[in-house]
Amino acid sequence: MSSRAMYYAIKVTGGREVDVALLIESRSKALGQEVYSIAILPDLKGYLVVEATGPEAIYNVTKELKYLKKGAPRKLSFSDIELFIKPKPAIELIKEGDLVEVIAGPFKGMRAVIVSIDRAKNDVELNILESEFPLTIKVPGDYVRVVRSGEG
Amino acid sequence: MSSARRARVKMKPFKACRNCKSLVDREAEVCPICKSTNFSEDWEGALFVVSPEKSEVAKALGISRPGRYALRVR
Repeated sequence: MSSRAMYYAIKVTGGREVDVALLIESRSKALGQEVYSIAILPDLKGYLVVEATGPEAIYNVTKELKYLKKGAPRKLSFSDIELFIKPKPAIELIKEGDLVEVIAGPFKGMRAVIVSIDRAKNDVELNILESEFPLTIKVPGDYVRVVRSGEG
Repeated sequence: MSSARRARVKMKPFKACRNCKSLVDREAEVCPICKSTNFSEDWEGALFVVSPEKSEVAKALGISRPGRYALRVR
């Protein structure tokens, strides 16, 4: 039972999540505490999720830590944080007409507009804006990053 | 001093490898894990893995070595 991981949400100063996580990481290594991982969840400002064997490990690594806010660590279940850690495929976030930046391949660094999306093949068709003649190419969905949404 | 401090607060301490999602120092030119040179400054969320063999979160994400990883890299 004691070796099973439990999850605790710790409240910290907003914007200092990385600093606190680095401190907890080095402390848990130095003190040999049973901390397995520290997660900074996107969209959840001011909280850290620490995976550890139990509350005593959390207490030992967070004792007198800077940027820590008052309050007992809250226990979470894996299903609570699962939604945050599982990444959405990049292609789900792209819409036709979006202005994107190509981030890999021979057209890396260029801006383009999405013409069509093939979700089954994970491909997107782009119109490269920086070329002198109309140039339409097909690249994998993870090769682009949305700069601005096209419609609304 | 205040401007230096402000800059430190604003800038993220790491950049993320687009290939293996690991977080590396901003000065690094090659990813120490996968030797890729494709980095991104635009990342969100992080996971610091201490014991990959015991961590359920690391297993769920398919991480097998300790280290620092980004959850979303753009």
